[in-house]
Amino acid sequence: MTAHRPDGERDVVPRWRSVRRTLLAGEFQRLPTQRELTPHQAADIEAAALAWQRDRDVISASEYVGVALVAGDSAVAGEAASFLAEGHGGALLAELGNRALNPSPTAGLDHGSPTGAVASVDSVAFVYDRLARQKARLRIDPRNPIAWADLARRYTALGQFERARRALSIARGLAPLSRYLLRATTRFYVHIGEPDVAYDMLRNSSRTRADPWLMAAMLSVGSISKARIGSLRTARCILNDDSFRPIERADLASELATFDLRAGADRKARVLFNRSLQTPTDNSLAQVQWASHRLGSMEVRLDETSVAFPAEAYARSASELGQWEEVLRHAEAWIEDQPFDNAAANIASYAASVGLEDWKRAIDFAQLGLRSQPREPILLNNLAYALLESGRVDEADAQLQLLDLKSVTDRERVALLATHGLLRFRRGDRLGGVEGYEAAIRLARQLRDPKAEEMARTMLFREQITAMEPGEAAAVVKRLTEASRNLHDPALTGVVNRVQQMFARLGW
Amino acid sequence: MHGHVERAFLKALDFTMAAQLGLPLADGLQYVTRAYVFERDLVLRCADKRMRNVVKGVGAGEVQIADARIEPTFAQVPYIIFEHAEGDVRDVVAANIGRFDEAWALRVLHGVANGLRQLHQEGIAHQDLKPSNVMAFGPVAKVGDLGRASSPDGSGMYDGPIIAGDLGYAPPELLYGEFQPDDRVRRLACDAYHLGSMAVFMYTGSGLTPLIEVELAPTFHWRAWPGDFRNALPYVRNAFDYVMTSLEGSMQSSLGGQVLQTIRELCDPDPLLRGGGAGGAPSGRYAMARYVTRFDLLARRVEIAGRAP
Repeated sequence: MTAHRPDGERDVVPRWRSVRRTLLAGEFQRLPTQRELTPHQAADIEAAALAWQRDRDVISASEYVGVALVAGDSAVAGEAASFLAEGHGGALLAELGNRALNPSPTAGLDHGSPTGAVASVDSVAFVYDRLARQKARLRIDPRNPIAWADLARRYTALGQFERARRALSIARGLAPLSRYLLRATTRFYVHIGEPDVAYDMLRNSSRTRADPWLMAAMLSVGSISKARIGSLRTARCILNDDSFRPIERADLASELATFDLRAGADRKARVLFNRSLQTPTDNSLAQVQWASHRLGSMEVRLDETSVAFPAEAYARSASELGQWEEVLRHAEAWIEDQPFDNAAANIASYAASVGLEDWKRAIDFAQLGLRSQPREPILLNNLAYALLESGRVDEADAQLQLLDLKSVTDRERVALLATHGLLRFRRGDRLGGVEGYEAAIRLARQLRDPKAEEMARTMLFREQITAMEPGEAAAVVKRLTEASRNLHDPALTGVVNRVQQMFARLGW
Repeated sequence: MHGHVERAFLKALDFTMAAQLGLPLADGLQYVTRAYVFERDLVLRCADKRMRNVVKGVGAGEVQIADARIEPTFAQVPYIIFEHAEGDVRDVVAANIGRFDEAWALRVLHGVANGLRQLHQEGIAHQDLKPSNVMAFGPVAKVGDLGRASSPDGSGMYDGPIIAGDLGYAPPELLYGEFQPDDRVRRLACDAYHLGSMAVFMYTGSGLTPLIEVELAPTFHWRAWPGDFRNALPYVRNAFDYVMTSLEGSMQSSLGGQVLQTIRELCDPDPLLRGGGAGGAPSGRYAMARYVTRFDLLARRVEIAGRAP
């Protein structure tokens, strides 16, 4: 049985992207500020303009375009830039002219890989190629903290955590107050299961108490590590500080809303979630999407929001609606954006298995997630399940052997017990198979998880159907159909439908 | 009687500058006059010290303009006379586009580094080194225009935290308004950056700062950045690294990466890591003697390679 829990816990843990994507996601947005030029600086521009008018040669064009670029106003030197772009001064000055004529919001960040992602299992070579380029970049300038962070991100995507930790540590040593690096490091520590380290780091940073992005990050890791959080009042003050743009406060609003939700203050939570939707980030949007399960009348109109990387919110939404191909499409984009996020690989492998019975893609996605977290129990379980359904019993068994049962939560154990049951069935051990599934059903009932209980029951029935009397099987099908109708779970409904079809094919 | 005629360059006080400063006219006049006096004294002092790579001041004085239409305040025009140069290096670079002479470029840089060394020895930082301030005297390059220099006794017009130098050639830290409490670091790091930027100019026809700007997203541009320099530095350095990578492919140098490595040292975006011997005292870290030797060596290598059959 595969597992994915759309209603599991979620916090607004920072995304970890390249600087380019972080910029596009709006994390560097500020209230508009523009430093004035001093009279000397204005005079420098005027002098360069006069020289260009007088000489109209390569050097006067280069100096005029240069000073205009430095002043942040390349448009004033458009004519000189066009002159350079025509190639009068060689390739480099032509490039300078072109860039002055066509300024890009992501200038300087478009080099190299557009994503740094691991888009498919086959792209390992691509990842290693990027890794090698990153190392070459650092050999030239080992003082570049952004390059160290990029290297760490790639190591993390490959599950090489100690190397990633070292690279991030160097990056933070070079720029200890960089918000980008503090948030990236936070995401890293959550990924490797050390949220408490991230919490201490943010709590001790002088920047956190005055920065909504860092405050949101601190609350999220505080929540995950179950720390005693003493900064809620400060957080609410920052939330009401109008010197920050709404998008700067969106993560914080949704994390505080999550705190209120958990404390049972639904009304306050709803107000804050709605506030975060004014100008959401992709992360706050996904948080509201997640919370909409728990808050009645909390509706998220994804088609009415505009964020740069909405893949997670869309994938979750499609999963709730049982639109499995859509889940896979958005999960792929999510993985491309956050290659180490096992939640993305998790939802994708689940959708491919339970929704589409596409075992090849289920295996691919699970393996992709496991690259970054080799012992993640749900991914191991989903991989084993898809392998079993593909008839690769020994490989499935080997994956299940990798599981560290001590790190498994009770809810995760339900799926694992069921998958062990399936393994026994595939090994020809019917008794052992039934025992596995029944243990899963008992545990789900104990945990008051009727969806998981019915799912396990349905899967068990699927294994036993051919050995049953027709009347007995018909009664079970009827009961399962009613249960799935009451539970409104598209995954369960899909599986029950397939069991119905199986029953019909038997022609009883 | 034998007559000796020597050509010279005369720089007169430009009163129109007073109107461009954004100050009341009287204050503006006082400012430009003070600036003139400061530059004159500095130029003559450098001449006294026989700085061979600093454009020599050969005299100074005032001329009375006998024209009734000119107000008496402006009729008395002070001037400085400099030795005559063939022109600034921009003229040669412009004339040689497509016919790059690396040995000459390195000789110019050698002369500039020497000029800066001579100034630094007297406690003077130039603070406005740019191509138009490097004069060609045959094969010798000299540094000119001390109008924005710092003085040894701290009494100069540009000894404070004000941004010295041309905007188009400014080091990043000054654009972002970082104030280094140690004024030796502030001034010497600025000169080091300008020397490296000068090297970039000699090879490409552009100063370094505009090349960094095109690799910097507008969000991180100094005029839009609300934070301090230290928080912008990772992004500035990232842009700087891309410029260096791009120069590696586009610079026509027969010396491999040696010139680029020198530029990298001189122009590190962090003024505290600029120069050689990072971590040492400013006088050692930004010492120009190192670069005098290096540019001399590099120039010799290219010259010898050029002579080889």
